Amino acid sequence: MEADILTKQLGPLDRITPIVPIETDNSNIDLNKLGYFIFFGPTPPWILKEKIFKNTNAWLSFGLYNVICHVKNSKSKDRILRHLIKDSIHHEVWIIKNGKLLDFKFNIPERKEYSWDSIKLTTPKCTDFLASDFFMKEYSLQFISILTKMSNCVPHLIEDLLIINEYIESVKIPQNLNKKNGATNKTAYDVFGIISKLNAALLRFSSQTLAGISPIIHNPCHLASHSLIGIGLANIALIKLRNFIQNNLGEIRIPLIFDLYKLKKEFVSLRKLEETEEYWETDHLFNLTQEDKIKTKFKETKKDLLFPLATYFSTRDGFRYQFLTLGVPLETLYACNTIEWSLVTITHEISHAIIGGILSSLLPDFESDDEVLRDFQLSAPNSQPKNLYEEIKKYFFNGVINIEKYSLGENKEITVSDSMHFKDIIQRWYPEIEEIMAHIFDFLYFYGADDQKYIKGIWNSWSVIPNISTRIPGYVSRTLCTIYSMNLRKGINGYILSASLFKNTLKSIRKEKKNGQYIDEALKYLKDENEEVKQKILSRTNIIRIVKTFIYSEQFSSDAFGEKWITLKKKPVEQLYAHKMNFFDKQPITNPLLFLNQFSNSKSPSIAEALWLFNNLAFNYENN
Amino acid sequence: MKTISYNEFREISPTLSGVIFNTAKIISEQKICNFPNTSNWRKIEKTTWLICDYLSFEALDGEEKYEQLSPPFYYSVVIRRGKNRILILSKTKKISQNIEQQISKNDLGLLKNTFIKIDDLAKVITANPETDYLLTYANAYYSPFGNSLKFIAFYGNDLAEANIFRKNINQMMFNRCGIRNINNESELLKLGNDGSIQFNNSEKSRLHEVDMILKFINDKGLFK
Repeated sequence: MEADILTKQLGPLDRITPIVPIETDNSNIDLNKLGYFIFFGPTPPWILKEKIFKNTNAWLSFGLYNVICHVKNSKSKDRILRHLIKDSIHHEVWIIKNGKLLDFKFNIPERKEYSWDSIKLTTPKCTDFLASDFFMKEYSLQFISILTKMSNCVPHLIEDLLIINEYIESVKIPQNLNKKNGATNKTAYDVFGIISKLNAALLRFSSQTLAGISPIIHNPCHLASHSLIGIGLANIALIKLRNFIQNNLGEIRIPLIFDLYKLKKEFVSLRKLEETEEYWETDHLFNLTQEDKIKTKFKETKKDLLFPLATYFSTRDGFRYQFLTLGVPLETLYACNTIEWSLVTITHEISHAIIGGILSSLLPDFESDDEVLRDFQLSAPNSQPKNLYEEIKKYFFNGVINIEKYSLGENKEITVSDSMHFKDIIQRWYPEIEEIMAHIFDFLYFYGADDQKYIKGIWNSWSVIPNISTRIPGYVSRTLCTIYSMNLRKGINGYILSASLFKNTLKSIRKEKKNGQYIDEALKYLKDENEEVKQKILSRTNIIRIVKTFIYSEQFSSDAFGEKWITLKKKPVEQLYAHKMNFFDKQPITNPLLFLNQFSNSKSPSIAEALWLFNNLAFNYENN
Repeated sequence: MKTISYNEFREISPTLSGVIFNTAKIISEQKICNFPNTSNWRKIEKTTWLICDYLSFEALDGEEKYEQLSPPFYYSVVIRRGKNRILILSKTKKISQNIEQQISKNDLGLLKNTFIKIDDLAKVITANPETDYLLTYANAYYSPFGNSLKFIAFYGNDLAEANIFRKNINQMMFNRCGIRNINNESELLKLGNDGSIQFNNSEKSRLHEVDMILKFINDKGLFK
């Protein structure tokens, strides 16, 4: 299916939208003759299998009016409209003759009138920060505008917006610009920074999603290539993906549970454990939540609301996850059927946020000499941790010191002279460690520990980064640490197995890629620096183990990321889903990430395939 | 309509595979008898099941391997209609799917795919030892180990009785299962979450038993 353009010559005020034809009828449309375009949605495309659409031409679009059909006579038009009204589906009819729009009519089903009394729009202020008024007015006006429009066309999404507003309501801003709020550890600048980013995200969300609603001619979208109908359907799909990740992984509250290791007074010395000990393979995170005294504590901490992220497509930012916002590149609209632009890439950003949360608790506040000293003393070989959390910290710090030792080429234990030296080491290695941990987290939770899919996913997504050569050693290191996390039990043999799998997968990627010079560089690096790479990865074992043993949970992973609707086909290629690309039906999905991994493997971008993916996310995903 | 005995029916179709479909409305027997390319409709005695001959110009059972065989091909098709579902069965699932495609060509939107919540079904049976049904087979997607371990299959007389099955059940997502009745040692049928169904006609009461298990699934709200 190829995109079709309705007008041949575009004037400066003309608006366009890409659409993809559905095979319902093969007759050509003559725009000179009287005819009717019916825009309707959002509705699943399989509605077109109904009898009443049998003799219509139909297309799918990216907008909230995701289905467009054309009929030649008013009898057919009325029959379709009756059906749409019966099912309360929003629609708009355009009457076309001689290539011109003669008239339009629309119907928006009556919705329950929204009561503005229930919304408190206070304006948290900071008297020292003069711009706070501006930020809050901007936010308030935008919020009301979005709520009004959403209550007419996508009322089921309003709940999310209200929860975001609750957070803004609840924020306590320190009135002194330089002071941090004790509970949130944020200054006034931090808070207004968050609100500023939220404003930007909501603006994009609104202009992308709520464009193209009725009357279409009065609601343009700022994205030039989607100016007619907007990209509301794509945003609904993105919201569904966000819901899946937040409802499943978010609900588990991994950083909160990780903190509860502090309550575990019985523990073993991690340094003394052999690599094959069953302790390393035990599901500690899950088991912790099953212990009676900890269960209650966990339930109490879990009561805080999870805040839904405001989603948007961006022409400027790449995949980006920030507090309260989730952005994906606009390129995914046309190319999310390829690995390079797969929507799954967003999980890496989310992994960083979760690991960042854990590390901010694990590491000392570097501005506090007392905390740095405390942790320096904890890292000493003869220190006595009081609970499992401190034992993990000690193991972590020892791991960082191992990395430092390897980097100095030292063959014996190094001495960390004092707390400043300790702080310097931690700070120097923090970026790489955070990156490694985020990769392993992403791999284990979001990629289901599928090593080949993971390697192909990240190495293809890196192909779009310019001047990548200087980063190759770092990328190789991260990938190997990630794959090795599944082979730790085998010790050095586990590394050899991981390296072999990595090389073979890179070679298979190379065969498929025209511009694969960076892959050649990676393979050369692996060959030339074989021993050095091996020692480098082995020096990072402590860090890898911490993620695998204490942050990853098999039980939580299968609860959150199982897929109820697997139908396995082994030939010609293994396929987990019965869905067929470009065919629409009701086949459900409970794990959209697994689904995207299955179907985001095309060699070249395709609007039709991307639209098929968005439709499946929007209409076939069901909460597990 | 003529009636055939169960024994005659069993000789024609010893094993049956097919798919369950939702129907937009109740389909009359008259309409069923007018399904395209079907003929020789008969009732199976003491049941509400029907059997017919289905003509296909496409080989649907591997006939293309044999030079001496050429179209048209005739297959026995069994149909069970309910209030808003219809079960189409034949020797292979491919034949059932082919007849569905022919029906849909003539009557767009009449039949819609039905999905069975196999994961919920397996877990409901396991969690309730007092039900009349037992699991004899279960195929599960096992997500925590990536490529190291992807699928697990269990076979037996009563899977729920095995500790290893119950202990790990929450980590498994079932996509196919086999069920037997508590009073009968042999497997009653196999079901897939894509609405597929498979059983053999080893006993006279088999069609009635299949009716009962489908009713059980329906009553539990496990059709989608």
